Amino acid sequence: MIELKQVSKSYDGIEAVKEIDLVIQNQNVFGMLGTNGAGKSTLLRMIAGILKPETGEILIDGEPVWENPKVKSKFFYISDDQFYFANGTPEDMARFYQNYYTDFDEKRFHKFLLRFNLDAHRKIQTFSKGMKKQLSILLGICTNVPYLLCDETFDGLDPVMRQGIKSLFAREIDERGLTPVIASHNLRELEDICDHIGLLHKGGVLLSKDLAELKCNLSKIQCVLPEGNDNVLRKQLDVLQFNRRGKLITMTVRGDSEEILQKIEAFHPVYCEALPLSLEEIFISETEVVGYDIKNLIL
Amino acid sequence: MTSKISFFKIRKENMKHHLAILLLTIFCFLMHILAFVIRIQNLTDSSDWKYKEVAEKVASWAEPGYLQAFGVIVFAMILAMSGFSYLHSRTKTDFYHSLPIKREAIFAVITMNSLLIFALPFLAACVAETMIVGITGFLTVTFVKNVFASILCYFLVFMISFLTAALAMIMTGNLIVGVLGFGVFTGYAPILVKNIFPCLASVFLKTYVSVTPEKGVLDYLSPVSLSYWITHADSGWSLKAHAGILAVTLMEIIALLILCQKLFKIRPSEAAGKAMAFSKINSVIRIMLVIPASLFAGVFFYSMTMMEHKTWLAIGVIIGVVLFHGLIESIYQFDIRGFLSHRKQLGVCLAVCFLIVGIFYTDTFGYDKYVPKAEKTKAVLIEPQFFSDRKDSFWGDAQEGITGQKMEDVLELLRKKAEQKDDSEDFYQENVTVTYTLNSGRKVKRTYLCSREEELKIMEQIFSSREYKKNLYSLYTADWSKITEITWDNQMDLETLKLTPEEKEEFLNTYLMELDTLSFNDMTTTAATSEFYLTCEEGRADDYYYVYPSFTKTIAFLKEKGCSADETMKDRNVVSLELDSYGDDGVENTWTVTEPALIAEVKDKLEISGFYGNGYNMYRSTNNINVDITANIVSKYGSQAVSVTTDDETLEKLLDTSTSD
Repeated sequence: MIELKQVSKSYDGIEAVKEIDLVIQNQNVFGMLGTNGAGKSTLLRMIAGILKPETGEILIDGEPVWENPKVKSKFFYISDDQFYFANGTPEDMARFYQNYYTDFDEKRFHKFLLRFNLDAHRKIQTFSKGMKKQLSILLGICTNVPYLLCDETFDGLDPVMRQGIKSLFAREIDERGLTPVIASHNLRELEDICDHIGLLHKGGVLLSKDLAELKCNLSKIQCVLPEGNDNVLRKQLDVLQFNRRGKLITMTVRGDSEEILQKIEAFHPVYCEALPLSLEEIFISETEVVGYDIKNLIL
Repeated sequence: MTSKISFFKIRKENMKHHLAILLLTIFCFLMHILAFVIRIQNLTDSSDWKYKEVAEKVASWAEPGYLQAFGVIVFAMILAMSGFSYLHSRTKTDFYHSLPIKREAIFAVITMNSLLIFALPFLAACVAETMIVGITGFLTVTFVKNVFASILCYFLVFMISFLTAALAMIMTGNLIVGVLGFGVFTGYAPILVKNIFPCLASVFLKTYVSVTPEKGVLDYLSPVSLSYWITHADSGWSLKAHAGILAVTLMEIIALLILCQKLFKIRPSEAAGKAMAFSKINSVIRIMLVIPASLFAGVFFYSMTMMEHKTWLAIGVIIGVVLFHGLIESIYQFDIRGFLSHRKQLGVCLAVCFLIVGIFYTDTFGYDKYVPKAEKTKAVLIEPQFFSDRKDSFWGDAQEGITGQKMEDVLELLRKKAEQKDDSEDFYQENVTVTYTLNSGRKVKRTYLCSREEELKIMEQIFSSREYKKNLYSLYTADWSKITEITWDNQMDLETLKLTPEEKEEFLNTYLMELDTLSFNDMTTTAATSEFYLTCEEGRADDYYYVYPSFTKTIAFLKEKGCSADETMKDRNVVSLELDSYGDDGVENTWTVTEPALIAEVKDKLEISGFYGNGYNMYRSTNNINVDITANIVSKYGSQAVSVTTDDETLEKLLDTSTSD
């Protein structure tokens, strides 16, 4: 488990991360969402022991990360711009990491290279951006560490590759309890892979919830009601968002969709239907409740 | 999991990524070995060299040398820059600092590998060169000793330079700023700070004496100056003579190692790409750089006015402060718009600079008025300007000057001189350098611009004593056994004295006895008639001794040995006199005097101009006509030309009656 307690960090007087409290449970895919400058990379770099928090502490499995090789050997950090040695090949990198991660699985690494069609002896500098990203993920997975910290790792990966990596993650989570922490500014990238989402904005955590919990508790309803019932309906339901276009009402309501539909039936609607909610809509609704208009913060 | 990580494997892996620099090092040392072989070959090819000389020469090549030390400094700098350059890249910093390894371990890996990259090829080259010397048959104990001395010196030079460059890299976040930082570390103390006082003192303090810089505390604060003193040896490098500086260097290396390690550990990773890593000390560094650099800028502007207008010094200081402060801040921010930021600090720098200039301008601490109290003074050494050549060629035991009552009298004269306002209109003023040796052993130097009258007053008081003369004439204290030859010269005849050791002793004792009696007045008003100079084991000592007409016993001794020491120009067969004058337009006019009667009339007024040192003629009016006189004489050697001078009256007479060519 990764725990962040009152963690703050500032650069040149600008607070990048402000008193963050966050818990990342094991065997969860944690998505760290936020716009550029929200503090995702700073937070991830602090978790990776690269940056030292000014206040607060970061614990992994109960032990502090800073200058603690024992704890640092439990994770592999993939930067948004991962470094590879000049003229280095995938094999060279694997050999390098073997010195630091004693459980590095070399055989598996070569299998992965074949599967992802990456040449073990080709210079990495000749790889495309996407290939480099794939390589970094493969190296990370083969270190056999419990935590994988990925900063914008899925940027630049094509949908097929993304799907391949996702299935890899799923297998690792099942087989050995891997906990990937993925930072991204793109909600759609995280939507179908994360179990838990933390939304960062201006250095603080706006929201941190299980995706399943979010989806279960929210319903998107479209209906056409007889005139004059709007206010009564809104009083009976826990409406997070309410939109009317002509006679068509679209609303996001907290609660089970079956129960909500039953309540609406009592108003004798002309038309009534529960629609699937996208993660984006869930976020917009949830954050608006706490006073944020995040339509511009997530893509 | 950590314990399983092999430090050796990590070092091996790190070494792989410095393969290029390792190969470059090996290549350089290989070239050194080849050059060494060629030098030996060239030496042995020459038939002029004997075995012993070749062996000595080869041994001397193995001695620690500053040029090689400079090469080591460059190597160390490159290795440190290359090893710690990752700190200046965010990508690399993220990569290395996320690995499960402590930062101290990363520092240790880089430092140890850099040392290995230098040490292995260097030691291999030393072994190879020793073997080559052994094979060629020139191996001596001195060579082996020198090799060990070089290993010791160059290792220390490498470590001090490497750690200084590492410190510069750790304290900065950009390679160019890191290189500049190394430049600051090497030049700040021994160049910038060390020269502030001499620079300002030479402008503002009248009694300041410019001396050749000696090794001081500030030299220990730079790897370059330290390396110079580690390898510097006037006559053969010896461990005994260098033990002190080697110990200090070792201590500095340990201190630097601890400092670098601590800073490396606390260095924020986010500093990568910025100019400076520890922003809290930016202001301190800037102020420490701006103040001395601006003072130099002021002195530079002042020197541009030929040291005439002190206003330009103030203008230079203002320009310097604004320029250096702005430049450094622009570097800090990587933005020229930062040029005028931190204006309060700029104001502080300006104020401190003007305060320092003001202190020198007003001589706040009474530097020029300083004359030590007699009870605190051990000795006083007076060196008039006209004795500077004697000082330069002095090879006897160094003396501290006059003591006792004479010293007290001189101190009183100097105190009056120091307190009086410098408003003398006397054109003929001369610098008199005074060295006060205090009871504590400290030496304080001052120079006073004295009129002829003042100088005469001081010199008449002290010159008559042997104690003072011992400071000027090496013969009083030198080891006479080192004298291999004594040559007498009167500009017309030159004789090498053939003396037994006893005769040599007798001659020199006789001379010194008569020199004891020479008064300052006699010396400056009587022309010497000849001189003798000495050749020592090391070659000719530029040490000369005038023979005055009053030195009758010396002259008699010389005459006995076949020298015409008693002869003056009037005893010579002068056949003509040539007078050369250069007009203001640069045109040379020549007159020739051939009339025997006129020559005979003026002959006894002619003096050989070759013996005009030691202040002769300084205190009497000299001829205002700029004429060179050459006397053509006929002697047993044939025709000779001698440069002579005469008084104004005789000169006018010669010019009136001579014929222009």
